[in-house]
Amino acid sequence: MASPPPFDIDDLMGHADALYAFAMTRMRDHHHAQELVQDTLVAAWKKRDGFDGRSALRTWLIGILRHKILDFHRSSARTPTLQAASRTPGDNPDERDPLDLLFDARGSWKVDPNAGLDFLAEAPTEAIHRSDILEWLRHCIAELPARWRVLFTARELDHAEMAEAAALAEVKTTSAPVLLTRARHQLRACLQSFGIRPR
Amino acid sequence: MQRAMAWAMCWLGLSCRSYAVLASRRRDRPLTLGERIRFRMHGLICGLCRRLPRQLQAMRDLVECADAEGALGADAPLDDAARTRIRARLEDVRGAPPSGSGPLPAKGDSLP
Repeated sequence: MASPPPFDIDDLMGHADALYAFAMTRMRDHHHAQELVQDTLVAAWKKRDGFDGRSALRTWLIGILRHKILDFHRSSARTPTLQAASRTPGDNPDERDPLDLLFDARGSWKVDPNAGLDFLAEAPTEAIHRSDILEWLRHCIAELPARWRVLFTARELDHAEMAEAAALAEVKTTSAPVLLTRARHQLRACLQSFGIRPR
Repeated sequence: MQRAMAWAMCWLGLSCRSYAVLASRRRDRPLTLGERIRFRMHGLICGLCRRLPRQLQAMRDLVECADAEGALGADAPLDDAARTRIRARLEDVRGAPPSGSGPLPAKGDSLP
């Protein structure tokens, strides 16, 4: 019965930063992200017998965290803030449409969209281990306005339905596709700006 | 001449900008027939835009890879206060019996 626990509290703490990073790419508030990391590690400790070691500990922890984030968003979606309900695309100066910068009045590219993005043709598993590319990516994701980032990660990483992604980001479902388009092109242009810069 | 052409393309919804919007939209929902035709036509004639759909996909794959390694937000680690708080909370529950008997739902429930 008394088999030793499969991991110790120190092992759990060793993953805290990674879990926090995972939460921060999906949350709008770092206090909430910290709270969920704590909840996740406490839950993991309590359920330690459920960890069968088939997956890596981090993968298992991220699975728990993923549920916690969804539950958090679900419960907070039931009490939407007045501020969020009235917001529409474009009323926040940080959320200007990147397409206005990328294209001229005739809708033609101002900069060749392929310049500097050769690394996107590489295998992502290899590209990601180039420290410069990982740095660019971190920077560009962190620079996205919070609502765009939540939308982008919900749709592109977590495969959420549009309505669900919109609820997570606290935007109207009708605005979500517009904001997602901005998020994608902002991210692309950000990576490109690093890619073009001479090293 | 080239300029007039560009205006015409823009007016017809065949500009690079329209293509860029559709390249994003089609990741969220199937394009309508009209959109599909415009998307295809522009893709055929415009060498600049042609790689855009692949770029958006590759970008997503890259983000996913980084995310799977927990490497995305790692330049902003937990601050010391939060780390201390979390560790203290874990020490609080260290002696708690594992699984099921705590306030947590049992394994297999939707909320781990």
